[in-house]
Amino acid sequence: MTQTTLIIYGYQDYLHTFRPHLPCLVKFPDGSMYTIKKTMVNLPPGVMEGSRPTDPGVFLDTEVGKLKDKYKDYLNRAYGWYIGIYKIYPDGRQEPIDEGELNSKDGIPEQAHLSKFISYNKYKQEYFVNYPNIPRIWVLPSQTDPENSFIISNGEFLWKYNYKKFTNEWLPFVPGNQMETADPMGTYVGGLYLPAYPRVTNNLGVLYLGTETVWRHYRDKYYQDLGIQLPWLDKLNDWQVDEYNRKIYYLTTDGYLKVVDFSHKIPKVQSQTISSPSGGTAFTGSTFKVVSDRDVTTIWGIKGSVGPYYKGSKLYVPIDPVAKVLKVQVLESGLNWLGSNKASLPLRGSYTGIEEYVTVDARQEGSVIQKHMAIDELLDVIFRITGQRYNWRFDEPTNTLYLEKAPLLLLRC
Amino acid sequence: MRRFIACITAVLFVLTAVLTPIPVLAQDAGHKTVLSGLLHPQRFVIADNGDIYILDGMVMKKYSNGQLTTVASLPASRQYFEPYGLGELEDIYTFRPGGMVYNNGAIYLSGVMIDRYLPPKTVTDFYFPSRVHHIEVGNLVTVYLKVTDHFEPILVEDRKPRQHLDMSVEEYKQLSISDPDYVNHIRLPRLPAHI
Repeated sequence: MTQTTLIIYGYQDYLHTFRPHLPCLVKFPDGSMYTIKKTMVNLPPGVMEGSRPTDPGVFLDTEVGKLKDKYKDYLNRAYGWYIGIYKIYPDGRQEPIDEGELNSKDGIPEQAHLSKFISYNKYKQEYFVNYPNIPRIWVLPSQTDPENSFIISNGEFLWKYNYKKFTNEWLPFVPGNQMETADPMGTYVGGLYLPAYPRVTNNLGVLYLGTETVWRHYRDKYYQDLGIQLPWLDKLNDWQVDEYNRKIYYLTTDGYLKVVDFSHKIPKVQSQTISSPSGGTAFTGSTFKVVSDRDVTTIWGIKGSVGPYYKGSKLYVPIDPVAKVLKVQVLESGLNWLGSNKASLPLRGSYTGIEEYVTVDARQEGSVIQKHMAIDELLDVIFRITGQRYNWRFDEPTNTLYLEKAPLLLLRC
Repeated sequence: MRRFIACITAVLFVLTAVLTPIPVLAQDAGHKTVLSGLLHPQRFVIADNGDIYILDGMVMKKYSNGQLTTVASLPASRQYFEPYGLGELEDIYTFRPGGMVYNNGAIYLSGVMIDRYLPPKTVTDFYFPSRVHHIEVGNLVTVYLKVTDHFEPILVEDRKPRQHLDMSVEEYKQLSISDPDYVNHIRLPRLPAHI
């Protein structure tokens, strides 16, 4: 078989006009393939598509304030597209999931049919109109409701769409649902978290090419900037995620395949063997760390006797760093718990406001006082507050506690 | 006075140039080149075993154990496109990939092609008369390809003009869209004429 170079005929730039017709193809974590594509097209009477800029982004960007008003009725009519979500089988069969009409009048959706998914923002469209070789509309898996919902991205906004009830929920970035990041990039949040060019992973959520850095949308809710810069679309042809090795590969327009590591942003959860318990002696070798798949590594200055320790067969860990990493707020009740070495304090869920009172084991070294709980009991409390179970592993040599979200089924038990 | 202003301007220019920090290209830090010399890379995907498949121009290449080999060629797979009326070389080169995934030992591509035998119309742009489009939406064909040792269409869809379908306007309306101009229509493979 011989190597063939691309020969350009006369159609090299036809996608500039017909880009909305380019269908995506996405492999979901369960191995199935889905696509979202145009299925019908409505045109103004007497006007053929292709005879004008049919891409609203192009149109609005190039003719803002001019033709928009003059041809308002015309434009509203012209945007009558029909898109459909289909499941694609390896033998070529396709199974329609749902279809809906696109209409620019709908704006940002609140609740409706698939038809509400497109709203064009002229201030962001400029990022895309010049790069027509990338599908604009994406159907993506939902991490929290994979059997009933999809995540839809139009390159600007994200929606969680329940295709059985025909309801959708806009998933905007709002203060409070962002995940802490080691070195946040930029301050223009709306631009930073642009949901463009998504890449699906099995466990890490969906990664997007933001305007400044790669970021991920996790559990259909949390936004986390990974602080990794890739070339922008004028120099980028494709990118993929090797989630097991925590690497991002990307193709450049000048013929390079490059790789960048992001294991320092989302650490790998390693398998550890817990050694036999020792009686109440804290691990004093190094600073205690908590590593979660939901958060970047958090290092706390907890050393010496206030670090984790075994008591009986249970591992006791400091409450504060674990609660901090899992976004659970700890409120002290104000009792003189140090004197009694046992006390109660409320744990208040950051999001739900549910309170739980727990008994802690307090230890003091110098001026540092730490409250400890058996890790299993602490995670049970956090489950009751947040509805999320976690698996844990403790690595004695590095004094590191690894936390990993349990599968979704456990969450509903 | 004029000399003084010129001197101040020059000093300010030099200070501005010196004091302005040079932007650090953070994207270069930690980025390593795996492969170079690709001709026209468009899409790639990582297989379950770590092999990397790259659609380079019209050729699918595999990068494995440091070796880059060609596994399939789109022009060489023309025979598989012929039943769909897209088998000529000029048809093949109109393929534009959308998505590319690896699934159970095969690669799947979505994309569009242009059927040159659907009558293209030269239409003067409504807003920009200097621009002339030679194709329209009716020429676009949505394709889904499977790639093993060759490229093979598994699903081909026309976007047929309404009047080309055996369906009335009332039937369209039952599809809950009012009076569509183009509708997707699966193109079934035909036997080649010489068989």
